[in-house]
Amino acid sequence: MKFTRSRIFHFVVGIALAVVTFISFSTPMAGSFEDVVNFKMNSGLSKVPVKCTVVRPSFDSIGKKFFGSRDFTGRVMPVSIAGVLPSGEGSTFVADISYDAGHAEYHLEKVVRLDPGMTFPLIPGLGELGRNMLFHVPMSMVAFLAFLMGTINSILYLAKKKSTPEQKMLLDQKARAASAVGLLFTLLSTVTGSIWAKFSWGTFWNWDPREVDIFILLLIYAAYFILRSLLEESEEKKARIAAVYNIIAFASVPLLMFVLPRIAQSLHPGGGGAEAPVINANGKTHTDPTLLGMLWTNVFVFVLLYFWLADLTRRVLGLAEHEEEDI
Amino acid sequence: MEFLESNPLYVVGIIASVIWLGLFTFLLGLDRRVRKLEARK
Amino acid sequence: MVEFRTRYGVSAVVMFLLVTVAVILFSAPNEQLAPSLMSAFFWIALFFGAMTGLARSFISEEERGTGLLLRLYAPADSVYIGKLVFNVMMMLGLAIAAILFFLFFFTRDFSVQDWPMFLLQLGLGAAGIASVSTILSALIGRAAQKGALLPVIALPVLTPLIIATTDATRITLEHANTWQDIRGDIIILFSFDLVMALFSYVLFEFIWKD
Repeated sequence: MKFTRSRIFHFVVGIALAVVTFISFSTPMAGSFEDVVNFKMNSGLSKVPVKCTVVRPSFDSIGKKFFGSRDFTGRVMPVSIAGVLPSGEGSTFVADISYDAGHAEYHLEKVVRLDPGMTFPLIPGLGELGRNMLFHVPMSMVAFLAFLMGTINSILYLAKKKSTPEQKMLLDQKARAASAVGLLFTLLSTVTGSIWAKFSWGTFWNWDPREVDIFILLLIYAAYFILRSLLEESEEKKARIAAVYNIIAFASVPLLMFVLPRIAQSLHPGGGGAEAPVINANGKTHTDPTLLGMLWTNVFVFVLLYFWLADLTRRVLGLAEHEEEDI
Repeated sequence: MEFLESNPLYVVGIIASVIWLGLFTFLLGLDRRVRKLEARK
Repeated sequence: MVEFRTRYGVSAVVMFLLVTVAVILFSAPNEQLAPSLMSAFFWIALFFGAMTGLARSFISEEERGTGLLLRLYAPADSVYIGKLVFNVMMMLGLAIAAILFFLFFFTRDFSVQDWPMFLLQLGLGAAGIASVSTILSALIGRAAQKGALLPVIALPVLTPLIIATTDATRITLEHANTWQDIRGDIIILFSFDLVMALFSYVLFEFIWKD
């Protein structure tokens, strides 16, 4: 494709990925007042960051009080504070809030961030680790896209009978490049996933259904390149056989990535017949627009990166083949 | 420094940015080399 | 144009099955084997038995040099159908042999609770293995180190099928009236078989011609 060659595109991808990475890390995570109580009861966490809005400061016998509002429902809760308020009426900030069950009262412990702009919801049991979702999930998605593109190119390779050998070679190189980049993204997804697993499930590898499936996916596409290297045929027949294998192998990819993980019991969200992945604090599905928006933005930027990588790989392959012809 | 100590997440962010910058320069360099070779062809 | 000439592979494969069963017996004497283990052993024996047997279907043609003759005289799809029918039949025979061996040697642990469902998922699983290894064995017909290559590339492709079918086997070994529990597995098996058979049929022509 033409646009993947332009310098402007490269810098757009570069800057977009840097910006998106920065935002993914710098946006504070904040829960709701409900979370403060739940976290204290379930995981013994005494302080939970909450996004508060100053509603109406007032004084009473306990001390200075102000009112915070919840993220979505806008429910107003009284919060007691020892010192002075960080900002005036109507302003927003993220603060660590603790809950005193004896007096049924919220305390403001420490202000984390003034004027946070957007915040990500706190996911029970994940905390700050939940950010990894913004990289881990897009990587898997792009891996699937790459395998899909590889298969489409393989199908085109077989279907276009009238095109010239050069055009066919180009399609074969495209298919190979897409599968290679797909393999790379699968590996990245596996690495980010296993680091995540180490910190939230305890071990790097659990043979969780999705882990089994991604392992098999790696095997399938490793086998694709092994098969190609072991064939003792002309370049044209090699490409044809590899294309056939690629199409056959891709038939099981949707099963591995979409069907089986949803049937089997899994540590991943969405397993065992549960609904879609849980990505907000209330255990409901897909209701946090900020996190979801960020996720899809990251997916989009990773897709741009994919196009650059795939095109670059394709050109390197083309040069390598050209070199062979010269010798 | 104090800011980084209280927000360790930024350290992770900086590491990620440095890795990405390295990758980006590598990709740009590779692109330039490929361009040169393609022009020679 | 059905190919029955490759019959000589059958006895070797049956022996292979017997050896696998013997190894399981030696390694776990007097053990109470849970249905999940039993199902795993059963499919390990069947999968590797299939790999040794079915790998021969195209590789042997190339080794004996009859591939060229076949290419000259027979259209691609009839060769494919012939190979597929032969391989499916061989795989079903293998499955029957495996059932008999397992019933004989593991009388206590290998007690199928729901025969119709067991046979249904076994048939679907066996047919899937046969169709995938037919096309893959045609792919690697002339690759180097062909014998070792087939299991390496077939296992990843067959994994969805193996996962579904081991699960279904385990359930049919555990209790009766399994339709509700294994319906999902059966649907996966059936669609996998269908997709693979269709893809293979369409794609075979591309690898068969020179």
